[in-house]
Amino acid sequence: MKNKDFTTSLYDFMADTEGLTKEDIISELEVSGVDAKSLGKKISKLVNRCSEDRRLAWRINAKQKRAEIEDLFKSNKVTPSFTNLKQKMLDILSGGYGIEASSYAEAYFRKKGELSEDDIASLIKDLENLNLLEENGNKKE
Amino acid sequence: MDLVNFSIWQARKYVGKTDNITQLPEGKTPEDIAFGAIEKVWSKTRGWDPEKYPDLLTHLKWIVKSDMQHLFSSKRHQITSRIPQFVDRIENDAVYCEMDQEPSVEEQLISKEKEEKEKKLKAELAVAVKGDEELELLLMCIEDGIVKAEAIALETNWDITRVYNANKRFRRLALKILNQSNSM
Repeated sequence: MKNKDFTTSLYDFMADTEGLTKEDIISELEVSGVDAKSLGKKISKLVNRCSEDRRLAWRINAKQKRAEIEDLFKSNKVTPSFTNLKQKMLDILSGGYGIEASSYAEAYFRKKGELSEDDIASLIKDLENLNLLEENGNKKE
Repeated sequence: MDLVNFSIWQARKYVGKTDNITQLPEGKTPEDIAFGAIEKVWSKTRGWDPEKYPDLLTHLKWIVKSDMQHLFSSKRHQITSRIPQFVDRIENDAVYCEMDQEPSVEEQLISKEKEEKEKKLKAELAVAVKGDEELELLLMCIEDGIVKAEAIALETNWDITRVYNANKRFRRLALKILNQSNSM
């Protein structure tokens, strides 16, 4: 069983806080010179900052993807005859039918290099089958 | 808090007796390493697969361990990468080769100091737990590398609550001894 030196074993033992209460850990941290009170504040500050960064990253990412898809619509790769479907898709992508429908559509378009009328009709049917449009569409009405 | 505690004990593995536990290479502290791990997972710099590793704390501990190792190994790298320049200056290839194969005088001294420190720590702990059968048994488990509560319970045939209680008493003694020896 023994494959490490005593000090390493002891430190591994001390690092494992299983069975200790929060108060036990606070008291040990204080013995080691860590101010547990300020630690809590620092952690919540860190989590808030990271959450904000993540939220912004998600928005930037979504904005980029939306722009790519809109470019695809504007390009010649999409047949210009089905304006209504195109408009409906743009509404879905801009979040008009809820975040679930928008995410689903984004994931769908990411896999596609070109779009046909059938593609879009099939996607809208999928979204309706998944009740993602119906619910949000009803709310809109 | 659990993560910071873990980070402190990881740092202690690398920090020598005379060094300050709160002052790691690059001016970092164990807290910084723990916070860095949280930030990395949050910002997705370090991946986390909740299905594969459902316990986030365990995953964060793994990152702390790895980052700590990296911090100290890069410090060691900086030190050792300076050696050839010194050897070049004295223009002695034979010395350089020797240093490559065998530990240097400094390394030998560090290793000897580490051994002595470990011996002293063991002796102090043995004295502190003497007469307390539970703690004596616990010390033997640690000497054998058995450190997890469940493994200790298996080894000693104690129920887990008894292990937790013995662990708490042992920790108090160990922390006192370790802090005394670090402040000397």
